[in-house]
Amino acid sequence: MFIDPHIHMSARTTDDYQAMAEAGVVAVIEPAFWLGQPRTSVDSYRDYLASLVGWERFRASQFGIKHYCAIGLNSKEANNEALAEAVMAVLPLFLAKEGVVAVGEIGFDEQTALEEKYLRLQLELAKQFELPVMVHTPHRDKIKGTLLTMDICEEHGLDPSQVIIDHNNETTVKQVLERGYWTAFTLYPQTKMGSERMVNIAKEYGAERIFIDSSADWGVSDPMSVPKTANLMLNSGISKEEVHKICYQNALEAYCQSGQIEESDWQDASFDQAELFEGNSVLRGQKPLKSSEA
Amino acid sequence: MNELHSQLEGILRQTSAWNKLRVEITALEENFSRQQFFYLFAICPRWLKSDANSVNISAMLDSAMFDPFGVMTHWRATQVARLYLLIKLYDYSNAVEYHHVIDELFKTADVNEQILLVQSLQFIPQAELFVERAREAARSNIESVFSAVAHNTPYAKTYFNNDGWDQLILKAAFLAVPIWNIVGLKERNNFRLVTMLKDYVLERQAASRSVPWDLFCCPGWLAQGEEDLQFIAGQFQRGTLKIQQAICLALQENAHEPAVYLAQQLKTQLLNPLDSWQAIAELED
Ligand SMILES: [Zn+2]
Repeated sequence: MFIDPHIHMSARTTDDYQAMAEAGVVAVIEPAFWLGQPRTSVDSYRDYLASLVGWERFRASQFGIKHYCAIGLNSKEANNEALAEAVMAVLPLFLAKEGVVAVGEIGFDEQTALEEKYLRLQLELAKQFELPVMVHTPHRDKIKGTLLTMDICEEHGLDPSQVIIDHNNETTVKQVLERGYWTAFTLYPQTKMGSERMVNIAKEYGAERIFIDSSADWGVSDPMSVPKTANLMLNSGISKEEVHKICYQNALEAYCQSGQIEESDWQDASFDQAELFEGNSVLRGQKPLKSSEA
Repeated sequence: MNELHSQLEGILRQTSAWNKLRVEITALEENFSRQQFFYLFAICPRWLKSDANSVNISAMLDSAMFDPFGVMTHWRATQVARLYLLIKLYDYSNAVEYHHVIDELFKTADVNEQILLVQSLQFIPQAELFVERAREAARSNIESVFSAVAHNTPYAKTYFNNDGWDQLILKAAFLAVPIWNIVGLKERNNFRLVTMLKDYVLERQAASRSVPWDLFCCPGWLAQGEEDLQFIAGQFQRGTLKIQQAICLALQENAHEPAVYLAQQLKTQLLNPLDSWQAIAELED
C-alpha cells in the first residue's frame, strides 16, 4: 500500500489513476498549485479549488483511490497582488471542508516580498483552521529559501511537526530533519531528485519523518514514482518497515493531524458507498470500479 | 420558526456539537457575516463526526409530514445541521443575501455538499430561485449528485421546464440510474421525450449495447398508433425479462385500447407477469 502525498491529478489521465491503483496507491493528496500559466481572475481560481474538492475527488473514487487536497495560494501567483488579495478571501470557504488535509502548497518561488506576505498570512490561516502546512521550497536558491521558510514558520508559532517541507534534496535534508520538520522528497524522472538518489538518502538518514511523492503534474513527471522508488529501495536492501514508513506511514501521520484523513477511509470498503454514493443503493450499471472489486 | 425547522433542531439538540453550534448560530443572528456562515456550513462534518451513528433521524422526525420522499432517512447529523443552517439563513438575511449565499455554496461545494444542497431544495424557502443549480446537477456525471435531483424529490417535477425535464430523463437512461421511480415520471411524460428515448434505444442497439429496462415505461405509456405499437412489440421480442415485464406493465397502464390489447397478448408469453414497477425493479437482470 502506498500514498502519494503530493500529486496534481487534475493534470493526469484516467490511465494514470488505473496504473496507480494497480500498483497499490490507495490515497493521493493534491495540493493547489498553478496551472502552468497564471490565472487572471479569482473566479477561475475558485473554480479550480472547487474542482479539487468536487470533480477530481469523484474521478479518483472511480478507480478506488481516495483523493484529498491541500488548499492555498501558490507562490508564483502570490506575485499578482490583486489576484492574491481576492484569492485570500475565498480560501476560508475551502479550508474547513471535508478531505482538506493542509494549507498548501505555499512557500517561495522567487522569494519576493509579496510571496513572503502571503506565506505569512497563510500560516495564520493554518493556525486558525488547525491544519498542517505543505511547503513548496524554491527550485532556485533552494537552501536560502528553505531556511527562510522554516524561520518564518517558527516566527508564527507553528510547531515543526505541523509543517511538511517538500522538494528537499541532499543539500537541505540535514537541516530540515534536525529542526524537526517532516521532510518530503519529490521524485523527478530526469532532473532534480531521482529514485537512485533517494535510495542513498534513505540509506544515510533512515526513515524517521522522511517521505516521498511524485508531484506529477502537466509537465514531464511520473505518477508511478512512489511505487517504483519503493521497489528500488527494497531491492537495494532497505528494510520493508522503513520503505513502508517512507512511502505510506509517515505521510499519513503528518496529514492525519488535520483530522481529515485516516486509514479506515480506504480500508473500510463501505466508505465510498456511504459518503460519495450515499442513498444510491438502488443504482446499477456503469458502476465505478471499487478497490475491493479490482 | 417553521415546524420542520423545530424538528431539525430537536434532532441537533441530541448531538454533542449542539452547544458549539448554538453559540455560532446566535452570533450569526446578532451579526450576520457571510464568511462565518460559509465556515459554519463547511465545518459541520468535523463537528458532528462523533454523532454520525448516534442520532436516529427517522425515529425523531415526522417523516410523513416533512420528508414524504424519504431523503432524510438516509441522512446523518451533518446533513441535518446543514439544512437547519440553510433554513436559518432565510430568517436572518434578506432575500438578496439568501440567494447570493446559497449560490456561493453551490459554486464552492465539495461532492457531499453538492448532494446535500440539491437534496435540500425540496425543503428550503424560495426553492424556485435555484432551478438553474438543479439543472446543473441534472447534467452531472457524478451519479450521486445526479441522483440528488432525480430521486426522492418532487423538485424537478415542480420546477423544471419541458427541456429540463426531458433532459433529466434522458440523462438518467445514459447514466443507467433508475428511471421508473423518478417523481413525476408519468405525469410529465410526453411525445417529444418518447421520441428521444426511442432514438436512444436504436442508437444503443446499433452499437450492441444494453438498454435500461425502465426506459420502456415512457414509450409504453404513450403508445398509440400502429407504428408505436410495432416498435414496442419489436422491443419486447428482443428484450430481457425485465424489459418484457416493463413493456407489459406500461402498455397495461396506457389509456388506449389497442395498447391494452397488445399488453394482454404479450403477457401470455410471460410466465409470471408482474403488476408493480417495484416488483420488476427487484427482479434479477
Ligand atoms: Zn506541486
